[in-house]
Amino acid sequence: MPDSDSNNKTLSVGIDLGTSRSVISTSSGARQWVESYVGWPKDFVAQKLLGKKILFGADALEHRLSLDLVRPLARGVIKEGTDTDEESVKELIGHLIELANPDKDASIHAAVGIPAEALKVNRAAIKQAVSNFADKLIVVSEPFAVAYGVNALDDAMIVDIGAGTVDFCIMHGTIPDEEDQRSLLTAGDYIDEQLFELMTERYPEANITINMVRNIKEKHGFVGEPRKKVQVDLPVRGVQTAFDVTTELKRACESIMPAIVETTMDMIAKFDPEFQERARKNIVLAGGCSQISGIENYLINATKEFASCKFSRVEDPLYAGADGALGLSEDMPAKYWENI
Amino acid sequence: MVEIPQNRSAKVTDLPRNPSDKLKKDILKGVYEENAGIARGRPPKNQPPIKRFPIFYTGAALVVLPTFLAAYVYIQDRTQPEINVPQNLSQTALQATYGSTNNQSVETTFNTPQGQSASPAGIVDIPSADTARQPLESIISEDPTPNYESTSANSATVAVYESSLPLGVSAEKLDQPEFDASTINNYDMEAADVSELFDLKVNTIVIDPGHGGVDPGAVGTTGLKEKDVTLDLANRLRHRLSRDKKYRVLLTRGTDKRLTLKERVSFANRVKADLFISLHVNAMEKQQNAFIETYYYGMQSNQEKLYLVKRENNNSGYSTGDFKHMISRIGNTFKNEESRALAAAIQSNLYVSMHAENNNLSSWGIKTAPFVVLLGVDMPSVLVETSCLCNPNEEDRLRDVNYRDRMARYLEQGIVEYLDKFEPEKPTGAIKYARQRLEQ
Repeated sequence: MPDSDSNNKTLSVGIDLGTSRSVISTSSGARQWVESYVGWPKDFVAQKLLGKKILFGADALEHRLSLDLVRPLARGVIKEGTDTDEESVKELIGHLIELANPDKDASIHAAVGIPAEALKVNRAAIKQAVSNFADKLIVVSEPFAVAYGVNALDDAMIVDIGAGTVDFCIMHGTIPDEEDQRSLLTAGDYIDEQLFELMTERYPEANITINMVRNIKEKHGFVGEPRKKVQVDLPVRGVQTAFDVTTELKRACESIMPAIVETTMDMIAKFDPEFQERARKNIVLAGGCSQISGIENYLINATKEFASCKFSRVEDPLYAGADGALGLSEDMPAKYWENI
Repeated sequence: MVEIPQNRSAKVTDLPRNPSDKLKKDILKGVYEENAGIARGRPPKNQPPIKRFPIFYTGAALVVLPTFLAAYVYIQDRTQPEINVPQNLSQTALQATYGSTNNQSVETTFNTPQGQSASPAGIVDIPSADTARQPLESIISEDPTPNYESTSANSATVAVYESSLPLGVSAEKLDQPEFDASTINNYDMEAADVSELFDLKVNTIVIDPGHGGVDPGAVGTTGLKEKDVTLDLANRLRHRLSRDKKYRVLLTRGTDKRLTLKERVSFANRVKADLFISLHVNAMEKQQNAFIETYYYGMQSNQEKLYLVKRENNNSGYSTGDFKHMISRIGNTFKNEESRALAAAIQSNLYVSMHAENNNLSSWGIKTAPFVVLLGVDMPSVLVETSCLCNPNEEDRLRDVNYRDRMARYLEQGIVEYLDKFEPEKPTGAIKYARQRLEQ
């Protein structure tokens, strides 16, 4: 039995603090997520109108015009020296734990997965932020949390394609260190920017926002050959009008692929040569953008010229990181928790 | 006993995994140690632990003995009278080398261009340290020609005569406790590669993304900023150069923040960098065509270039007092020669590869210019104008991540080409010659 079950007062918590979405899973079965936005009312009028001192996720996005809106982990890190971002991370984690509705008397043992770049530069700030809400805390990189959750601990590689970064993590039977991890800054947000530009260029009459573009990507995103035309309704002077965005969507989604292919091969090369074959057959795609249609085949074909690789996707990218972190939290022996 | 479930969250399809309990426990211990701040170490997989002492002594013997023998053979070879000498001895180099001696008579040795020994009567007039206070243009020129005839009270004097001492270094110089690369004059630098001769290595490379923060640098017609392009390029280049773990690659800035030139220079000097590469994107008035050019430190007078230099030297953070000290560095021939070699390798690789993609791209070659950031650093340094934001088509290309990634690759190729000469497997020049002699 996991240690957490031996003590009814202990609640194990796994948190995936992502650029786009933040997720929590608990040993009591709670699973919640929120978009990683935090907003404070701009003035007392806005606060009176909204009736809250702070808003999160979709709620914050909906009222963004009345808010000072912060996306604390944009581009995979807390921006250097920005108190607002650190404060928003703290509030976001507090909100997530609140959503999980823990027993007030429970001792919370939290494992938090964060983007690999943030682990390098913001570990202390994030520990500080989470320590307000958790009794015991460990911080790991997101791709490592995913690897732990899917038992890909040896001769495997995780490619976590998120919004702010694509994180690569090679697993060779030990906890990965800095050299085993790498991040690319061209990820989901970059696709959104590209798609926004391409659509604006082709359909200047359409009135679109980056949020609309993100929704189009999440709903229709694909790489490789399109199965069918992608038509979306966009407002033109207030009238919903159908536009074909197949070409733009393909170009935008494929814009991040060459860097992923090259880095994948670089990282595989880091393995001991005798284990590279096994690692090539054991590449796990995680993160929101791993759900882009056709991505496995695209990567298999693109890496063919170097070596035969096998990619597979986690089935539930939204919760894979949080579930893995929960696994770490539950499996961590009590004697270790005592000293953290 | 902790019981660990094996199949939790095993949702990845088609990949049977069954890590052992021991592996999971080891992983958990690693996570604990990392979060508890306990230092952890692990031996590389499938490699025996390193036996430091035997390897150290064996390695030391293997390195020191051949190097000593090679240097000895080379020195013997250099003393032979048939060696030809380039006619133009750089006044810049000599000024920097001996200017600080201030009226002391320093003896040095080199042979005449005709292969004959020079007599002690051949007096070379070298400006003294005071001359360094003159305007830069009066001291440095593109092709300085020393005055072999005149002497003056304000000059340090170099007596030229035949000697059995190698490398043109006098006995007084050899007695000095600290090695100073500038004690080797220009012709030696050209005949022999100092980095090879003294088995110098490159360990640390500093990449400097130009501009940043409130200083956007050049801005294209559609708003693309130089600071963003250079940061992205620098990050990509760092990742590439770090791949085989041979070099410590550092960035002067990893984020969008403002740094003075002085801060960049101080950083490179503080980390004891062996190479300094400053990345920029050009944008010149009245220049619509895209072009690539690479600079190393030196003076020139072209008005357009001076405009560019002035722009890149903005926000230097140096005072006039600092500048006097910096001027004393000008004649560091070792740095200049290595910088020139690095600039040539980068420029040729970058241009050839990028020109294959864009026929309209032109090469403006390698040049000297008085960039403060190149003058201030202690190590070989170049400033690469990687592209041009004044050309709208090029600006479009620079927006493309794949294009920037390829640019980083071409930059890497140039740097690696230069670094290849430091590879022990590929000896060239004097060391190669010395080894061949040893083998015979």
